[in-house]
Amino acid sequence: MHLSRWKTLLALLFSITLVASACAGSDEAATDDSAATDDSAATDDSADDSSQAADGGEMMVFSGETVIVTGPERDDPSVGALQESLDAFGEEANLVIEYTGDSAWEEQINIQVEAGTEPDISFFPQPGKLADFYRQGDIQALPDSTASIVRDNWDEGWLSFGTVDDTLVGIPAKTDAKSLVWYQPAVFEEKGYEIPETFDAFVALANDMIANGDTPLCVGIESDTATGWPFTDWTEEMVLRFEGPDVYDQWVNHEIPFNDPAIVAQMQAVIDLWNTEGMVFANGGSIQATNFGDNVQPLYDGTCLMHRQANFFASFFGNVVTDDGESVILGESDDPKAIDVFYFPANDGAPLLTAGIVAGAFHDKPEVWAVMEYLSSPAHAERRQEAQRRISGNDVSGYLSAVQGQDMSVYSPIEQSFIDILTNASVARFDASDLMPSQVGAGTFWTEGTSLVAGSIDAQTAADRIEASWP
Amino acid sequence: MKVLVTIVGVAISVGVFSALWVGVNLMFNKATKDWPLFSTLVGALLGFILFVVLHGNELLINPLDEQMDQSWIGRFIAFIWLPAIAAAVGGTVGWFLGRIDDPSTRLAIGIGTGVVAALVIAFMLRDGSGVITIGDGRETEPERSYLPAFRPFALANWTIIGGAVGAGWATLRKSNLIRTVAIFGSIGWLIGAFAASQLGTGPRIAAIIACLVPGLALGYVVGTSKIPNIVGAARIDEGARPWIFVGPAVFFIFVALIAPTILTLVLSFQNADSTEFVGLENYGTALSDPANFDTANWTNIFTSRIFILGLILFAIGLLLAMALGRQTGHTAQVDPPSGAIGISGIALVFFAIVTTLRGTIVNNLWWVFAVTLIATSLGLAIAVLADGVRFERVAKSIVFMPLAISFVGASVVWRLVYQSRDPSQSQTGAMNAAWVAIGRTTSDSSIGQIIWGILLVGAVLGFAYAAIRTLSNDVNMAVLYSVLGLIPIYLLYRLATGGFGALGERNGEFRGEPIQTLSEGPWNNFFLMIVLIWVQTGFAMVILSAAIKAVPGEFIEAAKIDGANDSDIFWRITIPQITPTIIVVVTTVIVLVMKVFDIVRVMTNGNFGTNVLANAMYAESFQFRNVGVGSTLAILLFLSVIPVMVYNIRKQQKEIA
Repeated sequence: MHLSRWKTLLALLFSITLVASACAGSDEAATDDSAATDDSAATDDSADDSSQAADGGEMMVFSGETVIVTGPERDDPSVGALQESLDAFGEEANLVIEYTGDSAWEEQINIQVEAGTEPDISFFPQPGKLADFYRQGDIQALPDSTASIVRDNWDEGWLSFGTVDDTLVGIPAKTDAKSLVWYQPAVFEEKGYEIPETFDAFVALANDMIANGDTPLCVGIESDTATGWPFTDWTEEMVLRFEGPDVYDQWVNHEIPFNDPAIVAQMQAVIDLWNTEGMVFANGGSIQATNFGDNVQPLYDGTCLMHRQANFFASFFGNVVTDDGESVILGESDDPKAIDVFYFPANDGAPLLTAGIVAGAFHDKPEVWAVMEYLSSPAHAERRQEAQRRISGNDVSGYLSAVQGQDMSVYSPIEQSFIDILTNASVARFDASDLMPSQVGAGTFWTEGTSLVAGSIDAQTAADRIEASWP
Repeated sequence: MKVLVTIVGVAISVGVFSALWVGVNLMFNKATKDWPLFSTLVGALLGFILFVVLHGNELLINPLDEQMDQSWIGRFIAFIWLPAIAAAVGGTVGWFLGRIDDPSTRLAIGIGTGVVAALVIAFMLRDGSGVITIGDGRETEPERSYLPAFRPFALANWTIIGGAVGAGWATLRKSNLIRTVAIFGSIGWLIGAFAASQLGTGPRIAAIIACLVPGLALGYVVGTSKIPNIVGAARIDEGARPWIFVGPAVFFIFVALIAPTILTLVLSFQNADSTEFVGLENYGTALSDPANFDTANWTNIFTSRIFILGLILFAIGLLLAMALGRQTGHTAQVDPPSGAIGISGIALVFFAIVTTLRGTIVNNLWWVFAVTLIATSLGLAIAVLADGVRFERVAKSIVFMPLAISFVGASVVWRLVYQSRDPSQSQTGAMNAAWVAIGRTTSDSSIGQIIWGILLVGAVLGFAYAAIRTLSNDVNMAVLYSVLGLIPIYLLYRLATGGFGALGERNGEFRGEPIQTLSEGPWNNFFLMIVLIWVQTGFAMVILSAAIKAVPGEFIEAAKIDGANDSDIFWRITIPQITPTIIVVVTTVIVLVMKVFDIVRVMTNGNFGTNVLANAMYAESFQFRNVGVGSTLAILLFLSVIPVMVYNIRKQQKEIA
């Protein structure tokens, strides 16, 4: 109640300062299309009414409208392939679709929404953030026609991440499996190590390796402004494996506090595992100083024998300096340096930690929904995958989609095995940190986790601080 | 294309602004030459501005909004018609008032205009029943209602406050009491009726009353004015001219500086999404959050080695000063050697405190203290030592060069220098490579140890020789050499007891443990500060060097004749002469360091206990969307910079005067 009067007073004060710009700057506003908010956007697309005539299930053809798409993906293969796929659709539907990948997307999207210059569509790696925006009224719910198309293309389990308060607002644009362990089959064979079937066997295997003078694991949690997220992944894997999906859901929804003994115990379990003498090799000298992507080289060199990381880790193998100058062979192969994955095992069942990118629309316009429908389609997945494999020159493109009805031949055998893991998991849960409020999931869980890994605080303190930051 | 559009837009707005400025100047030229014309123009301008503000902020219903097409011409017409009509009406009223002398007619015109304008505004105020078209015309949002529901107490309060301010103003400026009270009372009434009421819930009649009262009052003010004689007109002209000249500057400072500051201050008293006032809660959070200010380990201060070392140094400095004081008859004579040792002691104690009390605010203090002290002293040292040397220019250019690199660029460079690798790998960062090489040669190989031993003994002897030579004529330098000589002696001790540098072994083989430069707290903070010191030393050096060169040669010659040695000249002539410059350098560096952001953001992003206020503010505001706490941190930063800024500006003003 106090708010409105002060806001109004400020607005009045401010409007006085705007006098000059309002009476002098109307021309300016009309020419500056980057600030296309109120009365200026009409300049670029004047002929947009024609598209509304076309309706129904057939492909709509527009008249050259621009759809702006943004997201956090900005590596060459991803951006190139995504833009290629969008261009292909843009040509069919006569739309100009521009994708901009931004390394500071996390902050940019907040600023843009606040300033009213948000893009038409944005990709959210954190469904929690999409939900926040939807509840604030920034993200538009899918209209029924679009929603029904999306429901046809995707399994219900995947749509749950784009569903907020029983309304479908986001569509999965990319799906990832996280419970994977990368290893060199030839080394395992040579030294007589067996792929573990349970988590206990995994730990036993690691201890065998230490006894033999090998280093079992590579771990790195550094990732620029997102430093700490691999630790949150490990914690989530442990919670899912030892506390079960119900506790996991309660944890995500804050029905139990973050510093619940069960969660603290699993955070401690991760640290204990990593701190086991001889367990971890960290290329940067310490776990917290090692970029998670830097671990490809020691894995290839055999300095460490296993690395738990999501399927998109594949895109880093392009950085490896190989013995023969060729790119690393991924998947089943006779090559002695080939790298493959096995499922990060659990003692009970086959729980899977997943992640992905969800697309949400900020503007309620027909061309935006047309692009959203396209993004949810198998055609998009096939095109993007085809292009991304070509551009990356890798067997694993880094892209993966669990959309139904796609032509599986665009995926390499190892990628098909990822998709198998994705679709066959007994229990699948989305990355918890991505579902939590951003203060926690993209904030304290990362930073306090990093402090915990660095040894400056203990698990209880870290959990207490994270709990205190929960909004 | 976008570039072109931007350039054209800027050109047009610059043109419009200059035309406006020239136009207002010309308008006031008319005040003495052609009063009716001036009156007409003022009337038109006031009417125009009033309705541009009301209309531009979408306070008024706009029946043309839906009629016009969505091209920019259509939207422009839909916007401009109302201000244009208001300008015409205002101009007409001004024209009449510029000519008609009869007081009763003037009063009628004034009050009539006020009432009509008030009624027009009151009836056109949006009531929340329509929609506002936004974007490219295909989207709409519901309009807000601006009909006020009075809070009688607040309304009366504000009106009385306004009237009282007006009465005070009239007394001070000796202007007409009733007219001034009417003007300020109207402003108070408007604040009370709109800002201090519940907007959007009242009836139309409330809006009419809210507008009619100030309409009548201001109409009365206009109606009771008189056509000024030539002296009065000249006074208006002269009174307005300075405001026209500073106007643009004031406007831009207000828009770009003052308004955001006020807004930030208001936001800092609100909750995360700025929907509710929470009082001082954010300040409490910001100051009590252990991430910002962690005093948990404060008892460790007293047991830390550098704290004890600092105390010892301080005690030595104090004793030395007292010993020197006995010679001159003072209690304590703070001379350069005693002063330097004492200051180092204080610095070490400070370091002990900031490395034990952790948190963002403590880090900021540490940054300010360490970077300012070290960058300024280093810059001063280089400026003095390089003065008059053969390769002075080359040397200074090299020290100055880092200043040309952006903070982000410097951070990237230093990240490479600091890089660490697992001990089993060869180090790729220059610093750790050197550190490991030192460790290897001092601990592992007998030849290496012998060479190190010879080098260090040579260094000790060298310092000893220098100290003895300078003892007779320059005690200060002798003390300095002796203190420096302690370093190789300490290293010799370390060499004998296992070596120094990166040490460590595994299975009997040397495996030097690199320094985790960026992730091992709390000294990682200091490694970040080195980057800024590296950049800022050049700045301090250049400014101080210029000041040193400006010290009059006669002073130095006179001192030399009196038998002063080099350190006497430096401490007793150069330093006092350049003290004002040193203060300018120190304050400038303090303000810059206070705001440090880029280096921390790029190198650690505030992880591992290296966060600083600016980075925390950015993260809170834009990553976690907690605008309340983010703004609070911004205000804290702002408040801590202000005293230094004020001091700096005062100092500079004094120097000019």
